[in-house]
Amino acid sequence: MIEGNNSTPEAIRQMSICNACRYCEGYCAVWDAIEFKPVLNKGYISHLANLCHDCRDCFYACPYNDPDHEFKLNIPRVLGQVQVETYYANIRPKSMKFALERPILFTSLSAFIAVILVMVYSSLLFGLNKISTLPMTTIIPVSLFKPATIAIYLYTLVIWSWEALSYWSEINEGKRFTASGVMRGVYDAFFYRNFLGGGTGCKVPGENNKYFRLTAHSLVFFGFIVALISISFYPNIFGYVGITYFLGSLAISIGTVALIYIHITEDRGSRSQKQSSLDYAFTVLLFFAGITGLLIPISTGTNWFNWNFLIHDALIAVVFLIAPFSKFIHPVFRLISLIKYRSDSYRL
Amino acid sequence: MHQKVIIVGGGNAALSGAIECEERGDDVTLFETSTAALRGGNSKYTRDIRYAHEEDEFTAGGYTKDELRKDLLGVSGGFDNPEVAELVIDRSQEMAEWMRKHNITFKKEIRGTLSLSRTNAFFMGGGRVLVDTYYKLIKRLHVKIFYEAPIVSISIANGVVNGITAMIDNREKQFTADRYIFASGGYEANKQWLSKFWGESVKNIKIRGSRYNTGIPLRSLIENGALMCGSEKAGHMVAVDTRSPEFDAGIVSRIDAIPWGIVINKNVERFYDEGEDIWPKRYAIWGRLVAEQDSQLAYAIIDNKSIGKFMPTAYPSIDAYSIDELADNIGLKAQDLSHLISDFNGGIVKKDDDVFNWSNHKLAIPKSHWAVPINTPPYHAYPLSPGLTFTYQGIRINRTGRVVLKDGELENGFAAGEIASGNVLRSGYLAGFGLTIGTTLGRLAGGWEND
Repeated sequence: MIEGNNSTPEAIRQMSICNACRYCEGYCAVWDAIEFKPVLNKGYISHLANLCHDCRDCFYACPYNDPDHEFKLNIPRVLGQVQVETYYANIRPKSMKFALERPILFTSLSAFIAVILVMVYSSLLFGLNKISTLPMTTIIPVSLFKPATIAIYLYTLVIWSWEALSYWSEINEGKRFTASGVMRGVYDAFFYRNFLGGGTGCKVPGENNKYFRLTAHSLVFFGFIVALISISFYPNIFGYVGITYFLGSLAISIGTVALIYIHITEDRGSRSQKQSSLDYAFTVLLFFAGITGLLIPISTGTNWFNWNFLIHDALIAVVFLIAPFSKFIHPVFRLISLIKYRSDSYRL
Repeated sequence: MHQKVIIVGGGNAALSGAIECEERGDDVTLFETSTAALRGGNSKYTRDIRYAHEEDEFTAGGYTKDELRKDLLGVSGGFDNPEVAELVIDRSQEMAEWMRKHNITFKKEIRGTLSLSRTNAFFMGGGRVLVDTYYKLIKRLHVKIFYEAPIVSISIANGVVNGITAMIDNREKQFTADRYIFASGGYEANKQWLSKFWGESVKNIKIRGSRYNTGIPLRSLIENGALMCGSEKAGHMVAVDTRSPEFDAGIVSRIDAIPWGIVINKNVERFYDEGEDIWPKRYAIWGRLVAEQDSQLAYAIIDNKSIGKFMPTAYPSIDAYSIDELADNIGLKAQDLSHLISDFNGGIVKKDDDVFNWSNHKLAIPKSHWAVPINTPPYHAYPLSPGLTFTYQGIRINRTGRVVLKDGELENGFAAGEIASGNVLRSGYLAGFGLTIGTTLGRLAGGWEND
């Protein structure tokens, strides 16, 4: 299936049929939000597309998705396409659009270059043979680590905000967030309300594992947050901090393996291929970041500790550096849409 | 004693029967006419059940058997088979729990259909999820399922079914069993049969349900002497969008805009009061009304004020910024339409602020409620065709679920679902009750009552 660059008209056609049906009401926020709009338009479709978390519940409930049926509905795929197109449209700077178009190449190349750069640079600085034996804080002094991480975080936040404003201006319809909308939207995101599928869970990877995807994603998400907080204690990353960093990395590793498993086994017919490769590229990057994080306490005392730590840092830096140009846009756009949805619901 | 059971049909009634049989240890074979992807008959297009209940977690309050009986009699005017109707009403009470036990998830809250929140329970995902859930269950229970296996004939002699002939891989094949359950729906997708009543105009009628409901087993049973039940020629027919597919549009093709505007035929004439006040009646008469017009075609016309007052439509409206332009866009005489709309707008009497009480009785055909002036562009038109939901005619059963013949009954032949719904609803429509009839009679046919 070839995916064009403007899926909005097709999404409006399909979702108008949904709006006349509404049998999927209760699965996720998309099916509540669609009821606020009797006639759909481009901005609203973009909003709905970022409310979709691709669980496929609606696809498997749809009586209109058979290839023999004239309606040919495939909501997860068409919303996935529109979602990626909202990234294309709102990526900043605009010249970075190529990163979204070739996510696997861009991600692997970025990771490769970062790892090589760090290794070559530190070898030049300390000598290849010395690296395994020098103390960690000599190779990466705190005076470098702290400002560097803060700079990278700030850089990510600034570009994210730039993109968020652009996305928000596309979907806001002249309305504002409400305070309770913000609270409820953030709550929904953190507590995975939409992953519950109204009590039926997600249809991927299979009927009997309805909370598999919820578990996998939350392992990555909360693992990431735990690891992020732990590393801020650098150079004191042993003892208790070492344990939390290890657990965070373990959660990321297990979660990403589970997500990759879903990616490999799922039915591709109900997915946007563009979205699928964005997801895949970023998940694999996170997997390597997780695994190298796991190896930090394991390798303590060995002569490859420093090498692993350098590679790990390079990968984490890449995660943040390419965040605004990768799947890592999705928490921003999705959160905005969740808050808009909650703000709209309580305005009614 | 374990029996061999043959089930003809693949919708909710057939599946409920299959589950009931399998749970007693019977050996079940099910024949579905459709492909695996389109299985489930008209049950695919359902989403709720109406059942007598005390206060429960699925609904907004209790609904007594007396209330249910009154509602049924209200829409049908009387029971063709009171004995079976009473049985269904009584057994409806157990249904929600039975469905939940068989993996159906009900919604806790509903929105948008509040008029049904007390009487009906809605399940997650609607009918496709319902039938898929049951198919997965009966597969686990080792029911043998044939897809694309239409029944060609049923062999009946001396009140006993001796076997059926089905097409399997394009070859006729005989099958025999101890018990036969016919749950194969009505004949609404059989245009040749429908043409007996509708003549030429049948080609312009949209079939809202499954294209596989051709009623072959129903006809075969009637030819073998089964007593008929339910209104013979009528069907449930609503106004649907002309652009919708000939079959299988389900719920989405219906046009709810009618009370908010005017409806005209090709000759730019109104032909019925769009503002009649009782909702279910208003909804269900428009199919027949449109079917009586030239080319079975009509147009609902509203202005921009009314967008959002009715359920959204699957197809976009035909729009224009003036009445003349709108007439051009739908191919009608602009002058006639302008006249009609100015007459309509001119004679509106607004009794109070409630648009329900706005009317126009000066017209030859009055509009008695919701007479909202059509004066706010853009104007919107929806082309209307008749959309047949289901046919009423079926066969008579007794209170054990057996098919009643002109002389006696079928000893080992049962009927359930739409093919037998005429026993309970000879005409009319009550939201969510089709599934109740199907589930109850399906289980009855499957030997729920030990007989």
